[in-house]
Amino acid sequence: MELGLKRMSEIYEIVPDPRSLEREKEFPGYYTHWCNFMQAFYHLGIQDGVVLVHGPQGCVGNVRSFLATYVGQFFGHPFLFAPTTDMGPSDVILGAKEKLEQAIIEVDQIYKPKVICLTITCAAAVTKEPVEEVVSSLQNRVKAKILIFNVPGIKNYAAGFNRVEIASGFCKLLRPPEKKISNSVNILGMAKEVHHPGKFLCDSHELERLLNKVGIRVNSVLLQSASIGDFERASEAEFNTFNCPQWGYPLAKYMKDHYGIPCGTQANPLGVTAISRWLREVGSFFKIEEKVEALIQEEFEEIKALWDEAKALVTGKIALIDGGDPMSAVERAVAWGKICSDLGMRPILYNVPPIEIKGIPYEASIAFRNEGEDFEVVYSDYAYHRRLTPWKVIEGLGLKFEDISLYLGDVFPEQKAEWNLPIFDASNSPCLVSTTHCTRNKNRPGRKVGFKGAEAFAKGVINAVKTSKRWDRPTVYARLGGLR
Amino acid sequence: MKETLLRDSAQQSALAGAVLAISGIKNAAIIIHASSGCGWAGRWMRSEHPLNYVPLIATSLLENELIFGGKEKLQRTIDWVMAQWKPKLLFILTGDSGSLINDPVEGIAFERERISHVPIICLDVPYFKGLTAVGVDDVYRSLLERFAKKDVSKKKDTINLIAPYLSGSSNWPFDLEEVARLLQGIGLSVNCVLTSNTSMEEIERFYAAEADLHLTHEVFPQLAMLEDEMGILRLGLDLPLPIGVCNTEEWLLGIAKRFDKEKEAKLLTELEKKHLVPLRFLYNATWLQTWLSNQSAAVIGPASWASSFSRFLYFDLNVYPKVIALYGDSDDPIEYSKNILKDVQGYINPIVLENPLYIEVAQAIKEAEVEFSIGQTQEKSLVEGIGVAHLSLAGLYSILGTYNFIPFPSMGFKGVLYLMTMLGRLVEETFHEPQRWQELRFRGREE
Repeated sequence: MELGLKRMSEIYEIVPDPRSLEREKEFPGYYTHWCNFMQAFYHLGIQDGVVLVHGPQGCVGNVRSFLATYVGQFFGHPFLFAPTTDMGPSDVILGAKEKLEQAIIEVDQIYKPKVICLTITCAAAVTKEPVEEVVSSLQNRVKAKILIFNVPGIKNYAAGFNRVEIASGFCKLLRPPEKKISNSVNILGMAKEVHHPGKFLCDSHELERLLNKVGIRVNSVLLQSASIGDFERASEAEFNTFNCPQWGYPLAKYMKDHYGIPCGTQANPLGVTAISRWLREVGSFFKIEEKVEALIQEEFEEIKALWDEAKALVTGKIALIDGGDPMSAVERAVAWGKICSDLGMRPILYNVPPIEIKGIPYEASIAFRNEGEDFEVVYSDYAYHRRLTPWKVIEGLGLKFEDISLYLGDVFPEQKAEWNLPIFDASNSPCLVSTTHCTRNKNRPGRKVGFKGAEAFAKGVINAVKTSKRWDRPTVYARLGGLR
Repeated sequence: MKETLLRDSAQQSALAGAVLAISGIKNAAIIIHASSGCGWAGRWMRSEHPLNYVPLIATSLLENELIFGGKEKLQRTIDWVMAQWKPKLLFILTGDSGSLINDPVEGIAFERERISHVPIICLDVPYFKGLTAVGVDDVYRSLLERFAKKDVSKKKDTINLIAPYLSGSSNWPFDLEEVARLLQGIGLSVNCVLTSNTSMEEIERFYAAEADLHLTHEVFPQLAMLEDEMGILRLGLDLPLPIGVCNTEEWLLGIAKRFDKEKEAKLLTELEKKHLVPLRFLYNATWLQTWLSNQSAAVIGPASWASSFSRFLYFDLNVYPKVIALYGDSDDPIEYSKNILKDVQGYINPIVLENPLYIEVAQAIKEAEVEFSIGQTQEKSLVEGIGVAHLSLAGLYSILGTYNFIPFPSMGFKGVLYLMTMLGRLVEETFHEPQRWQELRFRGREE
């Protein structure tokens, strides 16, 4: 398929439902990264909970060999106990209802967890194990609350659907408010982040810092690594704000529908404009507009010199943003687009497959409904899950190398050199890594939210652009990429 | 803890095992007929072979294909793989969903093989079939049945090496080279490795070897049947892995006896001592060994590695392995490993856990009050989370976070240098006190 550019909203309109049979005709062999269970696993790591897997041990071995280690340890429960019913050949033929019953009782007795996140993987899903029936008959006999997450890989239509499924499952931990805490908000949609003191800051730390400066208290930060208490007291907040809307919206909708708690429309506030809008929305709700304006002014003054320096280097050119296929959510690529746009660049997103754009439930997709964030996306079928390289995008779109002022990429961006001659490398192309794990900076949120995040991003841009002027001594990474 | 039906470990599936074995064959490609998650298990496993790239794609079955069938998708994927990757051998592996819907996989493969003239092997290796060794065994059986020549004449003093990746050492690619070198040192040559950078010619001559040396205590019943049928001696199951001095001596002698090469083994041991000579007057080596002596450890990992490593700690370094967690894909590897631990139990009484839940491992470590633990990357945060230092040496080579780029063995006499280097890091991690150092650091008058 030839490459072309389309606005995100247009793609949303023309792409068939990811659950329809048409998807395979237009996007043959395309599949969503990970599978539902894999994606669910590390997000289910709430404090003092256990994940019980109704399926074979191999499903847990699979996530333990990668996601539970490289994501879970840093951005979730550091070590998630995940006992399995270890379904075997006879279980898929004869059924494993009794086994599941016994497993739930044993988990309750051995681990004494507060919550059991019971997950259903492919073997149990295809054989239609009566999981709900077992849970409803057992819930009164065990002390832990049981939440069911129906997350077999065969439901992996699009990452956005998975996220809604997982986040919605946690709504059962929410409770009606016993009281209201004035001037308080929740921050919803924290994923691949931990709101807990550590060596490095997360988005929620920066958002909390800013909110506290105008007298707003953060009540709960949901959902990854949250405690049961965080969920239970969430309804006591006056207003719900978002970090990632895909993870946060199901919780916000539930609280709006059941407890009448309003929520914002701003999300992933990367860049000066976005964080200002995000704060103004909070200010407007609590009628503290003047305080908020003063805060914005004060915070921007602190980073202005750096911000302007970065802007001068890149303004008027293109930012090629690798959406990561979408290991990072579609909304994440959009968030990077916002901060690039804020610095005067024209963001072009690629490796954001159309199925994934369509796969965000519309109401959770705040990004392209907000003015100025309906970015251009490289439209391709991503058949058989082949990803695009930046040079293929440049060539496919008829761009010139000198048009590009920044390459922003997720994990494993390809780099190349002919040994001493850089072809595509930090030494000749301004590259910034967007992978959450690799972008953590001292005293700055890794995902670059807020003013501190904007400052770190501006520093990164300046370093990347200056380094790209070198045009010699390519990195080992690029030299390796050029080895035959 | 009472008996439980639950299982919680880092052990992987039959599908993962099949990919692990296939990825050691040159010019092969893999299609996984299952959901995308099974595809990812495959992608991580194929990375275990750093010098052999095996392309892999999953059909990524979705619910509606389970209802209407995934036949067309599989056909299209085979055609795409043949056109794009041009493999010389194609494996189609069915995972859970692919296995349960019973698509006519073999029929499709037969048709496509007829057109492309590329051999296609179909294996039903869903997760629910079993763990890694089950899938590995299926691959070995399928390869040998289809490609190994039965009419080859036996070659004296030749040996096949079996399942190096299931040794449990995360350094296995470099250990494999060292094992081959040691065997060569006593006059044995390697006929075929199942499977690591293995060519079709090696598989064809598989039955020419006198013996199969298993580099794991895992068992492969289908391979065993073929070994018995073709008169191939099975070695290694009653031996420790060659980790450290004592284990290597026993391992080498154990093998040498079967070939009447004890003299050669003793001579080689004398020669190999040269690798250890530089440690003799090295103050750091003295310091490290003194520091390690009398400490208590937990060892967690695949049974063959954990049992052998525990022996190394105890016999070579005077470290007491108080908790030993053995993981096996069946009961057999646990029994073989317990057997080689009998020597240790004569002196100290470690707690030996058999396929324990991770919560049991944590409990045992807490109760035993060990100073440090050696195991896999997967349990690092569990162990460190209870305040015990952890060194990752077990499991697989390519698990993320196992930064291991120096091609040096951890096995054999030379491997002692590697292991002591690693243990040096562990000692630092165990006994350094950064938190206290931060609290007690110098602060000037104005701070």
